[in-house]
Amino acid sequence: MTPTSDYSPGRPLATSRMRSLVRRPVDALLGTDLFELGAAMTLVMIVLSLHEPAWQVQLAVATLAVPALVLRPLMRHAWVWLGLAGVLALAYTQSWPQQNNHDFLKLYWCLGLGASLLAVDPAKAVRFNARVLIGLCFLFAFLWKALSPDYLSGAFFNYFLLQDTRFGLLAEFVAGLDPGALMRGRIDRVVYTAFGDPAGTLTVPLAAEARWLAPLMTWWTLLIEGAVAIAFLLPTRLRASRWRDAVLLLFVFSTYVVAPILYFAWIILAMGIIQCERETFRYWPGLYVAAFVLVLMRFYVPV
Amino acid sequence: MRRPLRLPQWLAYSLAPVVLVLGVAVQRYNVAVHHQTQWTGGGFGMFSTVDVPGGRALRAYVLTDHGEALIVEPDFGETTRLVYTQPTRSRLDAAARHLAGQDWRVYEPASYQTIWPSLPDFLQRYFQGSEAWQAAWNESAAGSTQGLYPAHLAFDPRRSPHSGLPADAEIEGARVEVWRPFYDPDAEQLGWTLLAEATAPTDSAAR
Repeated sequence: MTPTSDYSPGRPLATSRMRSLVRRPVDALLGTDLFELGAAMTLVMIVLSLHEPAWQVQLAVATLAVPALVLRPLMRHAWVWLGLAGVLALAYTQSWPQQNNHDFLKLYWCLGLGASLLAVDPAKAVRFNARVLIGLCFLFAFLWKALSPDYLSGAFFNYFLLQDTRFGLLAEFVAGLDPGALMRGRIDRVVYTAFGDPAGTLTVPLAAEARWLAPLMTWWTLLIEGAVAIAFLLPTRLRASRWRDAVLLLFVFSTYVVAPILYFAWIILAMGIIQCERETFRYWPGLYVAAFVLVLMRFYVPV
Repeated sequence: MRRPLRLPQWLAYSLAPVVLVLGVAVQRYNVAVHHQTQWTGGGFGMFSTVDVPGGRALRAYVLTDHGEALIVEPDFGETTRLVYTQPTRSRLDAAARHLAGQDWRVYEPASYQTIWPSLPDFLQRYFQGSEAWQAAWNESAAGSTQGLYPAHLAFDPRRSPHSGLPADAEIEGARVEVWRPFYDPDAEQLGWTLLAEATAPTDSAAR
């Protein structure tokens, strides 16, 4: 039997084969073109997250995104991305105020990709646009929280821990709240919001065992979002900027693995992959992909 | 051979970030002026306040000579969510006019138990969970429903209860209200403050 290239004398053959099985996908990932990986993630996300009712919008998005996903030259064609940005902007005109923030971020990201691909140095421009869009997005998220009395008083996380099913994992397994009582509380709130006297109030009691969690979540979120904004908006020549991938991944692991918010995490990770620099740490792409897989599992696997 | 189109350096690098900042500025303006919820609209204000669109209380009333009647499951068509997320004066006026132009069946508290099977599940649950309503009904004939909410109910004729007779009420107009939620963690109370409202008379009342 011919030993594989991973075989080395003195090492059991089975161990070598195992290492080879692990190393091949890792090597493949390490050698992947990061633009293509991030762009493909973006295209899939755009198709999956599209919930515009108009068939014309769906057809236009599919016509632009699906061929670009399959054909590499199209993926690198600026007008595909500018076309997608245009279609999304038109689709949002009627529903602008109610559109979610990840919808806007994918629109800005398509615009950034299109503009970057028309630059003299597209690779550099794409990385710059990804970095600045992530930084600005987190800067404004940080500012809204820092300026919101609801948030700073701790009222937001006190309330959402009980009322938002996305925080169910924390409420049940970390704070130890009773799932049945949580569900009854949520239904009572929906019922009162629909039919109760809005001039009155509804008692939403916070269990004593959860009182430590809300301040922790409040200040952690503010701290980590502020850190991501600073790290991504700092000039790359500064040493602190090299921490940006670590800070963003820490945010993703501590936020989206806890609360399943799929599409925002998806677009942030696609942009993160494109802008990361293998020169500083060769495993950044692998860590981004691992974070993406965890986010997908958290969203689709019932806990 | 045609030269490929190239954008100036500054434009390629600044187009998307500038559009993002402009989008945030527009959203910030809408929050300040048009009661837009800061969760949506492109300003990245999600997870910063309990004022989530679905937490806002939208109330629609038919105004009658017997008093206000809460419209059960009002239908604003496609604009419903926009009325929640950005209740501008024009949207609320349009919603109030739309409701004032329709026919309504108004039911008084005495008939609530008769029309019970026709009430939506959530409304039944509200009445069952309300100590004031339960006390009023348990006191039977002596019980007073004065001051209880909702004082009257209004149904679209296509969805009105099969049992029970509607009150002989004269419809004078309609009102729409949007209430913004707040949460007081010390008192453990969820409450609402009136954000915007609009009233429209019926055609006959306007004349």
